[in-house]
Amino acid sequence: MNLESLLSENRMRSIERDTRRQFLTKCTTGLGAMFIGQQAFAAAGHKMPKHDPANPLGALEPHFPGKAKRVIYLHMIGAPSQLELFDYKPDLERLDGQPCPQSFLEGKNFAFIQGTPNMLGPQFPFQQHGESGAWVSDRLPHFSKVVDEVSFIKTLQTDQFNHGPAQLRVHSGQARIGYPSTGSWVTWGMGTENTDLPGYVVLLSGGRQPRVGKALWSSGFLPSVYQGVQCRSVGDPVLNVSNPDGISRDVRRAALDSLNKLNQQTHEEFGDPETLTRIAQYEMAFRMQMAVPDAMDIEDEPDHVKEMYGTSPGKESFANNCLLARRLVERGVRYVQLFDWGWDSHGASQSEALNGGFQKKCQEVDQPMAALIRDLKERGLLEDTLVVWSGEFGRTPMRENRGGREMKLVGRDHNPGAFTAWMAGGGIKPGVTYGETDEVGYGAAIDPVPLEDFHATMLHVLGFKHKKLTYPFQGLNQRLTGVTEARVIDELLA
Amino acid sequence: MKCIATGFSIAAFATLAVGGEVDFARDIQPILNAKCTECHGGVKSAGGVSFVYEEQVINFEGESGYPVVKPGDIEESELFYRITTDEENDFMPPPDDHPPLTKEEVALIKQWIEEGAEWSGHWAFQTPVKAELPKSSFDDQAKSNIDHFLFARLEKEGLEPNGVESPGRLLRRLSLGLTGLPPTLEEIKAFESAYAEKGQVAVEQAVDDLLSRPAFGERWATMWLDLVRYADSGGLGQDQKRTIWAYRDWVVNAFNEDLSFDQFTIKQLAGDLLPNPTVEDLVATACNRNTQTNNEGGTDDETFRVEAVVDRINTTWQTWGGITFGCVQCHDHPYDPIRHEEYFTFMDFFNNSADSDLPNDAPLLRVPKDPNRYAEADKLRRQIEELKLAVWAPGVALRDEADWVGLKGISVSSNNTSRYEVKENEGYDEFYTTGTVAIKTQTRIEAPAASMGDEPVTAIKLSVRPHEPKTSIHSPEWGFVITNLEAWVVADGEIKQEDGTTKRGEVKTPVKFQWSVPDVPWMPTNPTASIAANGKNWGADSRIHYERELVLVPTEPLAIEGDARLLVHISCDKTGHGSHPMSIKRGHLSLSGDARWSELGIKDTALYGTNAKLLTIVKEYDKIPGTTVPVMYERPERVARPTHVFARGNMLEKEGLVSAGLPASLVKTAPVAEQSGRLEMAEWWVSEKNPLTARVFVNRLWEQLFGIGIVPTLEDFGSSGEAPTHPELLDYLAIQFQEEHDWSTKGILREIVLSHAYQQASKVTPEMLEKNPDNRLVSRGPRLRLSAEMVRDQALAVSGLLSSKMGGEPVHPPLPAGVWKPFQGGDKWNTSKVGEENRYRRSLYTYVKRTIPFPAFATFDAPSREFCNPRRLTSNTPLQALVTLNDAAFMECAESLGKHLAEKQPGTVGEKLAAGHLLVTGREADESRINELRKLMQEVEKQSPEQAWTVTAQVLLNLDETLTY
Repeated sequence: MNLESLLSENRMRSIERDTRRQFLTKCTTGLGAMFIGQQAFAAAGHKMPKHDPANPLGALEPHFPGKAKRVIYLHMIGAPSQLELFDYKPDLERLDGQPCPQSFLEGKNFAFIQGTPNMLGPQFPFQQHGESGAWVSDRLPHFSKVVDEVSFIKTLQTDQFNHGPAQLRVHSGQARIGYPSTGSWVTWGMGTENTDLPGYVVLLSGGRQPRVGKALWSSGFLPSVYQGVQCRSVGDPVLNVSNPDGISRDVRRAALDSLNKLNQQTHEEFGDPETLTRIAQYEMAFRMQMAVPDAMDIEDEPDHVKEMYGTSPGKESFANNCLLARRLVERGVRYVQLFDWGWDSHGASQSEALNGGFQKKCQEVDQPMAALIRDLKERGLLEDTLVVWSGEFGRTPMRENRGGREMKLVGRDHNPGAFTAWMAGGGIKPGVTYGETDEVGYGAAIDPVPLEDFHATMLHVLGFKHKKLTYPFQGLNQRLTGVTEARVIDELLA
Repeated sequence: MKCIATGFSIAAFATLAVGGEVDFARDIQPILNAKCTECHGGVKSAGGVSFVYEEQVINFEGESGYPVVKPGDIEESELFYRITTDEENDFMPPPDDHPPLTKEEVALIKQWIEEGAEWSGHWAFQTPVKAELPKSSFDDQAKSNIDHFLFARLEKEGLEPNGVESPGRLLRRLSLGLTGLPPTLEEIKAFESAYAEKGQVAVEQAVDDLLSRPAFGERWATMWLDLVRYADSGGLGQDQKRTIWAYRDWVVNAFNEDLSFDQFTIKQLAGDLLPNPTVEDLVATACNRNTQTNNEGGTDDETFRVEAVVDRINTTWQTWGGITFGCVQCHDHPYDPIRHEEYFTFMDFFNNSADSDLPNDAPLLRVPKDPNRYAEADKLRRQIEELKLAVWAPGVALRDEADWVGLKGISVSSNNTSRYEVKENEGYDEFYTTGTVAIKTQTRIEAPAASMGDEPVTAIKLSVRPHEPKTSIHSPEWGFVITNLEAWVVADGEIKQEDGTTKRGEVKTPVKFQWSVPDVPWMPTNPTASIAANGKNWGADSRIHYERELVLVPTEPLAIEGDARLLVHISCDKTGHGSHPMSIKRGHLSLSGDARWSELGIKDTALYGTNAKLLTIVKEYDKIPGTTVPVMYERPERVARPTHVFARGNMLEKEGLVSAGLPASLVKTAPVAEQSGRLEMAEWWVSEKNPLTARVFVNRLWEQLFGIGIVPTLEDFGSSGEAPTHPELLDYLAIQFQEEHDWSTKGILREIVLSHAYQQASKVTPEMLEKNPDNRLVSRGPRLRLSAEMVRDQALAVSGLLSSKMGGEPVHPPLPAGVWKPFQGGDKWNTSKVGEENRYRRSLYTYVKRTIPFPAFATFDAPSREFCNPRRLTSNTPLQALVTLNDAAFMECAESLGKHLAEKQPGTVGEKLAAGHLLVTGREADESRINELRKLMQEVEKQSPEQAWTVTAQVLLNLDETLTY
């Protein structure tokens, strides 16, 4: 079946879908009634917001009108060095090569630093850019041109210094596996605008997988419909979205028509509303089989767009994913999570050294992330799309000396004390730099930002009070920001 | 929204007094929890008042100076004044952001106080009571006592029970419900005729047959493995492979053998502490070794050891008690009378197990792969343990008797950048590190003869202390493990030259050791590992709390005189996750000249013989083909860890020392003979008066069968959970389980499934649905979606592919391309090929990797097993349809089923289709359904004739009736 006939089928199905949907809503006490029934058990005794029973992927009542309607989160797995990208430290340059003062080492845990390491100056020249005068190193020439759209947090802090727990902390607020990711909270709170696509999509650049894997986009204790769905640029874009070999779309249609009729009869006989939900879900799956490959096909983008992002069709790449992210939010996906990899610049291997792979990583992300911001802006999407960029912690101003010796390559160890994140778009005041690190960029000197505040701010621009977006589990009204106090960073708000 | 409203009105009905007396737990506590405890509860008790504790309410004068509640006297009760006054400043709850109590609520509180304000406590904390069987007009339909309880409630609600389910569907429900597998065509037909003839007797026979099948244990193990968070990987940083399947098989077997639930409990929580534990008892303790470990570079083992202990506490309370004990880690329980400190007294039960977040999951037990050899292995293992003690004891006795002289005048250096200083102490010189310690430090000690006595040295004692001895007891430091120890006597003497001549110079004579005496009989993290004569393998792995001692016995007494010196080089090459040095950071040496040392363990002594025997038996034990399983193992008293309260739950802020104990409010109901240790704690859970355990477990079984618990919040039996819909029934089942069935799981399940309630039709009318939307009241039979495992197992079973092989290493059935990308490349998913048995094993044998959940299971709501998962919520999503329609493994089933129907099933096409329909649904299809299927076949035949049967089989496998039971 060629593309054209698929598209015409798609149009036809959408008309059919609307009528079918009407039919289904009319003839039942409500789709998803059982699902909602279960929600009700969990909720008893607690003031819990509830979804429209006809649609668990509908939105909850927002706490106030949010400025952002969707999120694109770019996570650089491995923790990129803030000291080589955004946090310019002239003092560190002067200290380059000198032994690290003991005061920096006392009571600190390091993954690999041994004994007394030496300080390591910034490895690349920095310059101020745009009207906002934001400092960016020469590794990000494209991104330097869009800094006026962006706001930086220089003093983000975590309490985890290992990748797995720290990544979980960034995405679920907790360092352990088993809690809902931000994307799940947001999809639970805001639903999705396009039921033919998953509401929460995860895109990986390929290469090494995040070490805690799917836990980073898990729905934790929230119902599983809110978990992230990994979409792939190679193979099936969503697991099992293609028909098995030799089953044509027409054969599948015929099978579904029979299945629906038989299930209709079952419903008439047994009266279980869940049967109707199942019919609807099978139909939705059928539409997804069409809509997902369509959304994931970047080939039909005009050349100038592909060039702007620097895509390489048919491969897994960050550039492809940035373009896909734009296509997905355009189609009503609520939360798009990108994971890039290879940013763990210890200096222990060529691919993970500041004077090695780090520079290639910069090249790989620089153009696409700048293009994403430009493209969203040109399409009028930036004003209500929140774009976030971060790693999971920062890197030390000391040079890593694994095994207590000077290493052949240059790298930095893990540093939970301060790292840089940036936000752009919906609800965020552009051109702001918030927080200031100490003279060597090791800790926060002014306005530290715990992850709780970062999460509270994200929820705020989406229209949620972080204290009120709660779900009862293990006896607590759980929330993304946990039990500690959190503050929305007003200084960043538009 | 209608159905929800109805749902709540039923719940509300259960919580309102009906004219008669006010019941505290039923009527008052929910009001207090909803309106008061936020400020006057376990977390915050404003004005000193907490509505969680009787003693902070009844006749208790808070900061206002008036009794909060004076029984019988509303005038004098501050509570009543506060909720009714017009005085804005006094009114409670504070009007600005909290709704006031409703008129009904105020009336209830008034009535309660007037009736004497009895503080009966929360229902789940009271011992279950046997109620009389209620009567109803449906009693003639009752098949069991259970039905009487349900019928009475139905009558009260204006509902009535459904008629019985059709026999084919009934057998399918029983079969999936009890064994997780559907019946075969032959079984359905046989049952239909038996049922026509014998009715309920046929049901009883079918149930007994199902209960006796091996598949029974496999089905119920799945429920249990969710609770104890079983996985074949370690979770957290690396999520490395973990070998622990022997425990999974133990659980399957325990259900199949109907191990009584009290024994099932005791063995899992404290099997290692039973007198003369068997291999099975030890394997059972792996229950609590399913906790996550973190082996990422630079992680702090102590942090994750404590995390694991915390998880054991929470899981134990969740699994056996249905209590959200986790709340108490940081503060008093907000709703239930459990104090913050009691979390840590409970922690003490678990705090002394030998495991410490080590990468190899030590301590490990080597067990035979073949459970039939457990007894043989048991005998050997016991001998090994006894012999180890026998080999160790004489040395320790001598160590304590002998005189020791501390070494003085020593100098200490290292092989790297680590620096040692030496300080004179009374009786000995102590060495300790200064500044940063490097990894793989070799400690080099040099002692002059002048510091030694005149006698030849017969034993050297090495004492190793934490760097900060005072704080390490509660916040242990990284320990050390000796990887090699060498010693020399250095003296002036003749050195042989190459040309045969000699010259004067320093001669280094190596010291050989014949025996060593560690301070514990074996390494606590590895009860079967041996410590070499030179001390190799001995240490504090991975943490040091106290001083540790090792005695080394040279083969010849050492004469060290004049200018001679003793040199000792101790290598400690182990690191904590590659970066933390596990070196000796403080210590000293002492010497003994006792002649008895030289006799220790030499040839022809009894001890020599004992040791030789030990080595032989260890060899014999190792010959049995085995696997390993991480087990619970108590650290010897000598190196026991103390337990402290963590301020606000933070392990880095330690407060007072505590010792093991159970929460006082529960001990009131279920007293405990002795609160000494983990075994007593385990016994307490299944003691006669424990109000929680039996209720919680029967409620779980009920939920598995009916889809919703009698207490719908399986995870919360506390006062913030939902109240039971049928409290008397819950108590009846709990008592029945303990007394009549003597904790037999099969016994209580049999009783439940033989009720009318379970056997009634699941058909529902819109009217019934409105009155009883989620079937809490059981006015119809259950209609449940198959669990994740059942969805796959059923597809394999009806298509004739399912293997009945049980147990053993986890298997790797096909999974979609692109899913298996583990962080550690070495963890391979080698898919079993078409035709290989392991491709078609039951789902519970699939390799469970926490960070890469098996996609088909995750899509059907199976948890990824990081923590105790008390309840699966069922979703209904398009992704599920994609799995059962498109996943290659399901496609393989459809092809196989289609082929079977086409080629093997006798009869016309219509008959073949009817058989297929009966097989997957347990129900004869009517003509219109057969026609629909036939029409589909014709349609497909037009397009791709070779797929007609496959596509039809796909439809059969995806019917709503196939996916539900």
